[in-house]
Amino acid sequence: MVYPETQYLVAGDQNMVVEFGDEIDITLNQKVHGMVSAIKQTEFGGIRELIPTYRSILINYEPSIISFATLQDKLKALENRLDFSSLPSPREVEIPVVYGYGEPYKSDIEFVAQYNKLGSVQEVIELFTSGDYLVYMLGFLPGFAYFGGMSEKIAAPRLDKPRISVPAGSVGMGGKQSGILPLDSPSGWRYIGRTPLKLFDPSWQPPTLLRPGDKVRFVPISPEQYEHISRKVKEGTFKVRVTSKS
Amino acid sequence: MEVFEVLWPGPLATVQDLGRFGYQQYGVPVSGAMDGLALRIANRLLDNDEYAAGLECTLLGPKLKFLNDTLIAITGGDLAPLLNNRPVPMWEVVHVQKGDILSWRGMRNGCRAYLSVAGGIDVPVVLGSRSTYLRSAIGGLEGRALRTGDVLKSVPAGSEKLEHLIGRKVPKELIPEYKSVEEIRVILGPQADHFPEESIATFLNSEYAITPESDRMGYRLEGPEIKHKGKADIISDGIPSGAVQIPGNCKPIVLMVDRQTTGGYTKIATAITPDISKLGQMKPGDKIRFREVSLTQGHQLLNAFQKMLDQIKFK
Repeated sequence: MVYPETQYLVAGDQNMVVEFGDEIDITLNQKVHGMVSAIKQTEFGGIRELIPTYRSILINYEPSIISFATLQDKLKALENRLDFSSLPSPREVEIPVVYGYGEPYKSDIEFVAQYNKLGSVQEVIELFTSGDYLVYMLGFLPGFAYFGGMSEKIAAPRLDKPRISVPAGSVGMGGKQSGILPLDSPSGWRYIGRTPLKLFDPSWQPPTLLRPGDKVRFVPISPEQYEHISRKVKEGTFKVRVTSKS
Repeated sequence: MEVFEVLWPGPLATVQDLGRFGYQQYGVPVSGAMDGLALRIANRLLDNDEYAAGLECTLLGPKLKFLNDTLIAITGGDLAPLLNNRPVPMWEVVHVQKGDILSWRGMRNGCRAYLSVAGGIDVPVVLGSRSTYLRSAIGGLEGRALRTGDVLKSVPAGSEKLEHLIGRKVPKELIPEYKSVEEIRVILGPQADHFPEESIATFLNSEYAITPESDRMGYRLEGPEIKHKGKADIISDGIPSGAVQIPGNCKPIVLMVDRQTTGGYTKIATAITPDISKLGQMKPGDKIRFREVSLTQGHQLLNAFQKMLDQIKFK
């Protein structure tokens, strides 16, 4: 639920958790991103770093500059002033994905189809592609985006034993959650496709393609298009489609 | 300037500074020295920048050959450093000459020694820091631990003449003590309300041992179970430094510098900043007792810690 009153939790001597609720919910998450952008715009002395999550913000503060109580008062006032209906519109990022091409994608997409008693792999692709995805938060790995918005008709249980290494760019699901691996990594999720886009590069500022609060649209591509885009990404000539709708 | 060559890397030696800040919102862990206090002191001894990088040497240090004359300072855990096979003092500035060999006899107390060189170790700055984050191969020397044959460079020191620093020492009373049984002060929360009173009492009145499943990301502890009121999981939220998570198996995990930025286990308490460096010197087999302090006490202790830091200056 969304709490009737925002909670300000103590997390050690230099961190505060500002918690708006305890569920995964779009309105709640938009409140998080709204507050984060408002805090960043306000001259708030003593705040070092913010971590927005599904339903809260972890604030790393400098207690010699701002006390817990003062910080809490300022945040309350800011929240009361905030007009959540006039927040900046999110960016929309288009992510090309080739589905079921090579392993583990072929086995995993077939599993997702069978597990959910769908007629074909094509149905999985259509259901996955038709979703409106929102980046609720980044975490787990540098640049790993936790998406909301995937159809529950293609939810799939995690593997009993995680794979030792799944390639960067793999797109998949673990239970009802979905995401893209930004780096080669061990993972127990089911991966149905792969994007040729780079999700994380420490030389970028900010270092990630996706940012908290972004909307994401998946576009199916062919293996040939995958190879083509992959080459352009390596050359640094591929332009990712990012739009800001109003 | 080329400062040293690695003749043998030891179990784990990485380049670290005080950490990578500002990128946790993108999922990038802070990293940095496990014992930030020791690295800070080494840098102050050498008049280095506060954020200069040093070498974090774990359990057994690397064998190094110096390629140029320079000044060094070794702080942190006592791994019994030797210069040309003779004991070399820690917590003071030492002059080393081209061809000198640094080696280590082994762990006497603590488990992480910090080697700083005049100017600091020079590796590319990645996202504002030189710290190595091994899991994602970010920062440090190519994102990895040192290997035989690596040659490290130093940042040019602020001043040409450094001879006057030789022999500079940390006063004895300011040298931290590392013990294998430590009291770690914590502030309860952010999810202490997910535990019944008996569980909080168990947590605060028991001894927990650090298990071998411990690294720069966190320490898994063994000891009496801490049961939750309900579920062990929460909807993932941010993880502060020093957070004590209690996963479904009811055994605490203390989160250290390479922790994930977000996670879904309940956090019963958070270690206070002055005790996180202490934790950084603890190793498998060492024991922890947690003691509760209030937020107000935590801030007083942090204030005292910062005053103590201010005292460690040599200029």
